[in-house]
Amino acid sequence: MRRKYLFLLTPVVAISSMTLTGCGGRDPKPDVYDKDGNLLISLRNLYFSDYTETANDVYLRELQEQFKVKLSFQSYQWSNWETQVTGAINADNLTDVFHANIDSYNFASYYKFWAEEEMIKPLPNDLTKWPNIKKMLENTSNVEKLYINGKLYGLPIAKNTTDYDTSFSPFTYIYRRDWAKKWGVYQENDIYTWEQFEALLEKFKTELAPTSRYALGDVEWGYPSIVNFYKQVPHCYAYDEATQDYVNNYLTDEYILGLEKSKSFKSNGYYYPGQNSAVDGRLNIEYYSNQIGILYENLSYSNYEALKKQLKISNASLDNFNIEDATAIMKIKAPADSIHADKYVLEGTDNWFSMTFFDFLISDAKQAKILDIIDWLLSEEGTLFSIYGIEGYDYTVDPITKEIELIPEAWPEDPQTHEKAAKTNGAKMLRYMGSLGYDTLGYDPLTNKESVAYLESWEAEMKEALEHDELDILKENKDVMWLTSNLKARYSGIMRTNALGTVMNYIYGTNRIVSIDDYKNDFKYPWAEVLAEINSLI
Amino acid sequence: MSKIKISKLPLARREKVSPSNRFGGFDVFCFIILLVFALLIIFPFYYLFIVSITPQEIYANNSFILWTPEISFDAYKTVFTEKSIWNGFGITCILLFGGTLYQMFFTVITGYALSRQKWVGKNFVMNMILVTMFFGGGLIPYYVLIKSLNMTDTIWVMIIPGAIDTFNMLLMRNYFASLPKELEESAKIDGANDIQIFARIFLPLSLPMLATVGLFFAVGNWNSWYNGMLFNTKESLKTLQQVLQDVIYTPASTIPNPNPTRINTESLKMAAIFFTIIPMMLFYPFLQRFFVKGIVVGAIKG
Repeated sequence: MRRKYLFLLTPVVAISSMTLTGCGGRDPKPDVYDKDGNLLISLRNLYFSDYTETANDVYLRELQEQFKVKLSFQSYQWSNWETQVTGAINADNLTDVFHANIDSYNFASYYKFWAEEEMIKPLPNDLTKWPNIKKMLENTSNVEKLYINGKLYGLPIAKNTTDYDTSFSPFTYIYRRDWAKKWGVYQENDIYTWEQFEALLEKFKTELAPTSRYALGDVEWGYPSIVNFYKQVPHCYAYDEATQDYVNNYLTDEYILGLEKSKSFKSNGYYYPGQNSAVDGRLNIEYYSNQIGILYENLSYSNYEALKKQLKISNASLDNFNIEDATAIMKIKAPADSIHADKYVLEGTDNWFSMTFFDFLISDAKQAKILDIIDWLLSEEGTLFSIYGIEGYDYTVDPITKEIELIPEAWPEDPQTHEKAAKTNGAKMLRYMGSLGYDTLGYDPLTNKESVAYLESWEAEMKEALEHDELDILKENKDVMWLTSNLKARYSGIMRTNALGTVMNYIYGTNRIVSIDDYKNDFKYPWAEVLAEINSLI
Repeated sequence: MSKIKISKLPLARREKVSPSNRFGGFDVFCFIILLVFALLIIFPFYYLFIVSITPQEIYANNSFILWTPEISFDAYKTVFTEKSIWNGFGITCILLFGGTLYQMFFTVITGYALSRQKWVGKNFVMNMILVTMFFGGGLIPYYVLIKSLNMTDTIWVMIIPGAIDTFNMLLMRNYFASLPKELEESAKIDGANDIQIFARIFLPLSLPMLATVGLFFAVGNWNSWYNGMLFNTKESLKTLQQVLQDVIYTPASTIPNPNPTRINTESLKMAAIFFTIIPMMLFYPFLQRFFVKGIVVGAIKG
């Protein structure tokens, strides 16, 4: 009997002791200075993993001297970013500044929860001391949704600080224009009607099949991209005009029409056969290895440039291979049976990605100092410092024309590729706390100007199409997107993941989801409950 | 090498190849099945290696390759000269040797103590250890504990918390319990104290089990990454597996490709993977005989 009690008591004692370990007061962190009087600041950001040579960085030294600070850098791993953030924040083991991925799907469970539990420090109400930050925030899309009790608890990181208006993402198709020309299916200016697109797929399939190659592939997270030409909204919650209720997007007639089209594309043999089991990055490799003719991808500058570069290398042995002609962005108009008939379709986006946060326990003075640094880095002077370096050392400015000229010795070039060697510049890394740096691509000596110009021209063309009602942007209603409610906060993320699993199973006929009824029946708990909650609140 | 005719073999050995013992149809079937299994196991390693030595021009035009007409070790040269890989290797070696010895010490002495005659509180200690097999405190309390012990951003966080592994401790305990009590009694009559009995009698008799448990710990330490990922933020404290994770997800920034026209990104990844698996692959065969024996012996309490 005694033994039984002991056995029961032991886990209770063990669990209680482990749980109580977490209880205790939270003391504010005092400001600490080094022997030279520099304020010590710790920072953790995803992009700092590319920045390890801090000891010999002259730019960082200059920046630290200017602001009388001593910065220490820590990084996240892409593959474990969320675990690392949530582990550190819940255990109160934060750096002074840190970086987390916030979107409408985790807004309530992360951002709002952290703010309410006093884990993150709000920005000062008056931002007039930091005009560049203030300007950036004024132009941030949906920023009003990030205010809790009148306070903003972090800095949304701008994707683009020169053109805030872009409301669509560059998730689209890149294709082998040289093959389309060779096989007689190329259309002027890369614009394709749906029929022309299907004709091109058929031709690519015919020509590529003998060598076990395929017409089409979607980046792993983007499958099935074909549904985009049919559906109303990107993810879970579509609006039904008839009932005036929010409904399950994956069960709308429009989505199912797109789903059937995707299934037919798969059975017609257009798709890369390993699409449903491809690991991250596989489809990119297939594209630049000449194995597929069309790729759906996030064509941000870095992804586009990487694809181009690799494709060029893969075809280095071919005579007359011109990379600028060989690959291009495909502009496809939706089919006639879609709600987007004869229009381009792109996914909507906010003009920021992820956020920079401040530990709740740091002092106001320290937060102000960090804001000083970010604000300066976003200014014209700070941007020049981040991109070019030090005047007279890395570049000169013509006193009359104000044109910038690089000092060749400071920018050595690769003799083979003529690309400039990357520099270790901590200021550029630190600028990622406020902006992803797309605004500086146009004049950054390390970027490929042709690629930047090409992407900008595509963006301009799409904006013009939007003005002329030739482009539909898939976007959830912002009220439902940012709505914080009990069930939605708890289940939205997992619902989206499971729904994509069901979609994949239906297209491939796996996991006993063969008929459309099997597909529909797979959307069980908590869909009805979450939708009922949303409809009762909006 | 000269062939020996079967008629010249001694009678006893000739009998072994009598018609009833010949390689029959069932043996062929088993052989094929085992061969297929063996190929399934070997193929990923083979593919890894082939991709790692395939130059960019060939890989680029053949996304799936079984053989390369041209061999290039440039990817290995790049990996072997990469600072972050060697730094990770160094950290992992510290875990492998230091961590394994530390874990072995605590696991073995605990297993030994719990296998001996009754002592006050033995059952309580046993229950406390057993509880950890079924219940955990959860990630956050564990994180808070580590933080309050000031072990974040130190190499100790990857060593100290893993002092005793319950499963391995039970293996050791059962093994010690299976050894005859008479050995202990006779040693006591000869004047040996507890430490001498443990060190001079029980440890030498437990070599198969020590090798098995040691191998479990060594493999665990070699593959260790989770504690490092969660509690360490310094690049200099990344284990080899963490560096490998970075290489696989972001090879461009982790290992700069010195010659993209020659070395393909996949080759770099594969070469890095090969680098991390080779030491363990070399280690296993030498301990295999202990390994099998240890598992079997430890499972039976005599």
